[in-house]
Amino acid sequence: MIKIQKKNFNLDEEIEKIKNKHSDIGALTSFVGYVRDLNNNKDVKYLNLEVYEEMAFKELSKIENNATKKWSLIDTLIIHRYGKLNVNEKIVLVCCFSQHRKNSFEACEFIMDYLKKDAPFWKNEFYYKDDEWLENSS
Amino acid sequence: LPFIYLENIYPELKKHFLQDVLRFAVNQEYVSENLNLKPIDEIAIFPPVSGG
Repeated sequence: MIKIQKKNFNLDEEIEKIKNKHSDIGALTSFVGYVRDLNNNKDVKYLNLEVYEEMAFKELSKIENNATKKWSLIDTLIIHRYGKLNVNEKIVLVCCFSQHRKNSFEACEFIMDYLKKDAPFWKNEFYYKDDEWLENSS
Repeated sequence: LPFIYLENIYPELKKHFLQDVLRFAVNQEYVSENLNLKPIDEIAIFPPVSGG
């Protein structure tokens, strides 16, 4: 499942909702990305995250489908937020549910790598004096 | 040369073309090769992404 939203999310609730649908899950690997207080050696005030929503949805679906096939995942969840996000706020959640741990670990890393590379989101980072558009390293 | 048309309409794009960092999408799919466009196609040109 893919969610692109402004609002925050609750980790336990999101995980439980999916876990309750399946009893063959033996492993969950989750990744959470947060807004850090220091970047480019500057104090960060907040981020403004922009998204090309329809395309982001398509790209994330492709990545999710590829991971599901490659690692036989039982279920997946990707939540990516947009809008104004303050330091300490959650930006992204990736959850990979599988029978055994190895598949979920590897799939989670794969999804994050491709999300960072291809998903059309942009971080405009605001410092105390100026701001900067960030660029993910490949 | 291939971007003269776009540079005229959107002069601010020029410096990005020179850096060769832009990505192109047609109908919300990345494209890397030449493509015949239809009048209804949705075209997006954007800078390096930074999600996650």
